[in-house]
Amino acid sequence: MRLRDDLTLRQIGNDYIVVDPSQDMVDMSKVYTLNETAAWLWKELKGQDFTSETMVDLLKERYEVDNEQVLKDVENLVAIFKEQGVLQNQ
Amino acid sequence: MEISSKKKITLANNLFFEELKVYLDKGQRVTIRVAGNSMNPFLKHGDRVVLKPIENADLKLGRIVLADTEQGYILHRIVKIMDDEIWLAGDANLQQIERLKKEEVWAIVAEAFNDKGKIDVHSFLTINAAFIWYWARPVRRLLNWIKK
Repeated sequence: MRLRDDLTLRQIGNDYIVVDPSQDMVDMSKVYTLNETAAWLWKELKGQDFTSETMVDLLKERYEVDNEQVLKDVENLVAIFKEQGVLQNQ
Repeated sequence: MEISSKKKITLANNLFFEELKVYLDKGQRVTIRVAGNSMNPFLKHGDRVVLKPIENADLKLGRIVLADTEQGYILHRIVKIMDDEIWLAGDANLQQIERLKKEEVWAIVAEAFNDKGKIDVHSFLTINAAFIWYWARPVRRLLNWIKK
């Protein structure tokens, strides 16, 4: 999978938001908010093809977390990515 | 770890509008949600409005504009235009008028939507209705006073 190239991650104060500037229109009535971990992961994944394993590896490199937890988190996140339509259509 | 999508975001107001200004300055249109009820009954809390960067030609009576005022950001209607001042009023407000410099007006509402679909904001009829509503302020104040 791959994150949509047209989305941009912006840090606003302590929050991270992903804005969707489709063509000439920026929709700020629907923004995705990310916490720090998710924002960090977003930056790492942006601009490349990745799999769930890529995400697991990245998280394990950076955080001391047990396998099971990471797998579960990644699974959730991928589901949210799909649901919110932030992934590139393959 | 989580990522979420919220309809209403809870960023600090000034940061939200600073971000919005970035896009307006680039000439882009930006959709936001109406917060608050000061434009009732013409725009309601939660309606979505498409904002277009302001041009001089947009500064006309009855238009709903976004302005950066000393009291904060407002989405109100132009009720008077002078050489160096623009006066705005919230449709729901009974008394208050905001007197601004042209530079404080950032954007105009190009389109608006609610749950049912498109809202007619700037047609001849709507603007006339809005002015009747505005001129009825003394009566509305009276009714408001009686209701109490």
